Order: sequence, then structure tokens, then C-alpha cells
Amino acid sequence: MLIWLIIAVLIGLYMAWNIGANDVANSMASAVGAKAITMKQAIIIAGILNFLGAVFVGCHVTETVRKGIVDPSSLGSSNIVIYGALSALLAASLWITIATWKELPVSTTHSIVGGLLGFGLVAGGAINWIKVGEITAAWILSPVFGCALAFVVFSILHHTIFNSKHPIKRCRIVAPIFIGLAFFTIALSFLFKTRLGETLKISEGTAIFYSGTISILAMIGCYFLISKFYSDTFDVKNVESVFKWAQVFTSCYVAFSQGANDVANAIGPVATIYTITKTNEISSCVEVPFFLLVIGGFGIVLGISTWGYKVIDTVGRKITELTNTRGFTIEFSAATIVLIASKMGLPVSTTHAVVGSVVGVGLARGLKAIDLRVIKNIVISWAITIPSAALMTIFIFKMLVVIT
Amino acid sequence: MTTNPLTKIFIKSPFDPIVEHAEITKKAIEKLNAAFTLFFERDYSKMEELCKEVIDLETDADNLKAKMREKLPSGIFMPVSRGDILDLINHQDKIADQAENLAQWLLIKETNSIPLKMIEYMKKIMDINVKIAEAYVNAVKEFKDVIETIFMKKEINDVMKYIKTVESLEGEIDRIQFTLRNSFFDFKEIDPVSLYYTTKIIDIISDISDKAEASVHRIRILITKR
Repeated sequence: MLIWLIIAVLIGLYMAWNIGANDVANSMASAVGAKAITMKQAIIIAGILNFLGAVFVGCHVTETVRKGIVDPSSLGSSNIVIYGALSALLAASLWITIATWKELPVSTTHSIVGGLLGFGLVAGGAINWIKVGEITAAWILSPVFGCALAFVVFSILHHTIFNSKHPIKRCRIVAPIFIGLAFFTIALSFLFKTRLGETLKISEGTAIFYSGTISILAMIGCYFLISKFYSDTFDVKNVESVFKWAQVFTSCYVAFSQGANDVANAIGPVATIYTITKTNEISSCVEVPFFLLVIGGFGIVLGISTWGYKVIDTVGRKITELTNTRGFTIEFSAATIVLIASKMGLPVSTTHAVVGSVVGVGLARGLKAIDLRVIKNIVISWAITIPSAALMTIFIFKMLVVIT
Repeated sequence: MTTNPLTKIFIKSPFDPIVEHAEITKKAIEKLNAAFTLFFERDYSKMEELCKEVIDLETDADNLKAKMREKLPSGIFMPVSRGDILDLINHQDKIADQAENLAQWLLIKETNSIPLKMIEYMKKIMDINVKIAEAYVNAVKEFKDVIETIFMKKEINDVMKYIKTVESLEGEIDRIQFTLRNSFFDFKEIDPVSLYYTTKIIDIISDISDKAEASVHRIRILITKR
């Protein structure tokens, strides 16, 4: 039994490594490209925040991936559950490896969900089609909402700051407001219906109150910091440098939300296997154990520091024209959408949320040139990934059953 | 190397190369003006050098134009329409084409065939062309700023200022050309080949300003179409 768990953890680590390698660019590339932080700083920040997001907020989506799509208790033998979860994990990893080799824009989230669907189909277990429907809706809506939010945020920034007669004065008010909103979302994600919230005995209403207070404090703090360091002379450069720090903050925000949403892709199925090996029952009530989230977070950090920095470099070099205000907008919007989705337990592609936000800023005329063919490729990859991951899972599952 | 689509979604904008292309054009016109002066001084060896440089600059401009077109795939999304940008590149390139055209005609070196009375007017036209080139490059640079500041009113006004400069300078050349044309029948004794040579050169130097004006009007469309 233990051997299956070990294998699962290893494959889970590989998945987590992939997430760190491919997806960390979403959070750090624009800050590195705009020279707000160095590569070394980016790797450290991304590592720490992805880890924190995974460990403190990652349980919701992990729960969904563990039992929300295919309910393990509806299956007959515990062996089937182990083989199935393992097959899904293995198939998703293989699919991502092939896709990376072929440079197709494939998402880790879609791969693992596709794998689980395959598992559900082949094992004859109950697939929670309502959940699947919710997840599919989230896949379409998260980039769309990211686009809309980025459009609104950038339009506000543009009209209130750049088009005004006193840009720095406006900056002092507007930038803190957005940062306060980000703090609000983060604080809520820590306190609202979480393990931490329960330990601290915070009810839902109190959580909102505390989050609101933290965000207002953050806003006031930002206001004073900006006033202290930036004089009133208008120069487009001055506005951009105010947003340099705002952008470092939103990069952290994205890394955090990414950890919260993506760790589940690696750890969800491992958690399924873990609960069976531990209890030898197919329980549907056990929560995701903390140490698994830590393992997942660690895998992500490993991916970031071994391969992720190359991707950051590649993306960063291509977006040298991306100013701090644009980077800030893109990251703020993407992170908010992803964190909200994480709280709702919905696995979404963090990369696609960022792409949606990029398009949103482009629509608000904030970007000089973006290639919309990327969207076409993403949609095509959606169509290919689910069936491919599902079929591979079914195949591997059958093989496992035959071998053992 | 990676599955992240962010490596592919950002592409290099054409706005920097367009400025570069305009500056190559301005350099070409400045050298052409120097060659023009040497043509009338009959200093042909120096003039040949300059003409060759003009022709080389026009080749550079063509190569840059081809590169720009390559980097404008149909899926590109910019704050302005792709068709309008391609149109601007097309028109802008015609200015350098005319500069190269004139350099070729100057290399025939038949200064004696040009009526003396016309030379001062022709030199004046070429001097104005240099001023037009300067204003044109400024218009393109300000246009780039318009894009970067997302169509800020002040930047749009700056572009319009240079557009109006180009237009009024082109108007001046039109008036000189009118004077020249009216005097054609004063040169009945000139041989037809020389007259053709003269008219050709006058047409080309006037056309440089026409092409510049047409191109600057494309910039106006880009900054006012919302």
C-alpha cells in the first residue's frame, strides 16, 4: 500500500515541479521585465509566496480535486481508487511533458481534471457532473472576468491619473485603493472559512470585518509612503515609479494566488491515495493533510528555482515595453479572479487568467502590440487536453489493473 | 521549452521601427540636398558618393519596411488598426523612393541642360524638402508618444502642430512649382531632351513633399480615428 503512496508523492512532486517551472512567469515576468526586481529576488519571492498560498489557502481547491469531481466513496474497492488517482496523475504529467516538448499552451489544471474525468469514466464511479459544469464555467469565465476587471482597472488608472492635471496627487489616492482591495482579498482568503480562521475562532462576519480593517490600514500606510517618497512634480516616470512598488506587491499577490489554486493539481490525487492508505477506507470526510500541501508547495518552489527562472527570462525579455502601471493592472486583476476562484474551490488555469487580463489591458489601449492568435491556440488546447488526458488515464488504469 | 502562452502573446510593436524608418528617410533627403547643391556646382565625384549613399539608405528603408510587414501578423492587436499602420508604412516608404529616384537622375550629370533661371527655384524647393523631412520625423516621434500616453490630448496636439507644418511647407513648394510651370514657354529654344530632364527633376523634388504630406495625413487618421 505504502509503495503506491510513495509513487503518488513522486509523481505529484513532478506535477508541482511543472507548475513551478511553467507558471511562475505569470507572477514575476512583468516585474522582472520592467526591472522592478532582479531575477534572484523574483525567485525568492515567488518561492515563498507560492508556498504560503499553497499551504494556507490551497486546501479548498485540493478538496475539489480530491473528491469533488469523482467521489471516491462511490467506488467499490480501495484498489480502484488508488489505481485511478495514480493513473490520472501519471496521465496528466505525461500530457504536460508532451505538450511542453511540443510547445503547446497546455494548462496543468485542465490536464488533471481531464485525467480525473477519465478515471471516473473507467472506474464506473459517480462523476459529479454539476461540479464538472461549475469547473468548466470557471474555465471560461476566469479569463473573461480577468479581461473585464483589467479593462476597468486600467481605464480607471488612465482616466484618473494620466489624464488628470495633478497625476501624482491622484496617484496617492488611487494606488492605495487598489492595494487596499488586494489586501482585503488576501486577508479574506486567510480568514474566511479556513482552518486558520477556525483555529482563531473567527466567524465569517468577523473575518470580513478584520479583512476590511487590514485593507484600510494598508491603504493609509500606502498613502503616507507615497506622500513621503514622491514629490508633486508630474513626470510620467514618477507615476510609473510609484507603481513600481505597487507592481512588486501585485507580483507577490499573483504568486500567492497561484500557490493557492495550482498546488491542488499536484496534491489532490495524492491526498485521495493518502486517505485510503492511512485508513484503508474510502472516506469522503477527511480533510487534506497539511504535510501534503507542504510537499506540493516545495515541489513548486523546486520548479521555480530550477527551470522557472528561464521562463521568466524569456517572457520578461519580450515585455520590455510593459510599464509598471500595465504590469500592476494585469497582475491585480488575474490574482483577484484566481483567489476568488480558489475560495470557491474551483480549479482554474492561472495562466489563462493572466492572458485574459493582458487582453483586457490591450482593449483599454494600454499595450502596443499583442498577438491574439495565442487565444486561438489556447482554445484549441482546451479541446485537445481533456480528451487526451482522459484517454491516457483510461489506458494507464487498464494497464495497472492488468499488471497487478 | 514551456507551455506558458505568455511567451508568445507579447510581440514587438511596429512603432519604434516606424520612427527609425522615418529617420532613415530624413537622412536620405539631407544627403540628397547636399548632392543637389554639388550637382549645380558641377562637383561630380563628391556628388556621386552622396548619391550612392542616398541609394543605399533607400535600400535600408526598403529592408526595414519588409521587416515591419513581417512582424505584423493578421492576429496582431494594437491600439490602432493594423491596416492603417500598413498604409502608413506604405506611404512613408514612398518618400525615400522618390529621394532615390532623384539621385538616379542626378547621376546623369547633365547640369548644363537645366535653364539658369530655374536653378534658384529648384534649390529652394530642395531646401524646403529638408525642412519637411525634419517636421515629418518629429510628427512620427510625437505619434509614438500619442500611442504610449494612450491618446493624451496634449500629445495629439503636438502631432497636429507638425502635420500643419508639413502641410504649409508643401503649400510653399506648390507655389514655387506654379511659378516654374508658368515660365516653361519662356524656354522655347531649349531642346526637348533637356526640357524633359528639367521637368523630370522638378517633378520629383516636388513629389517628395507630396509624398511626405500624404504620409503625414495617414498619421492624422491614426490619431483621430477612435
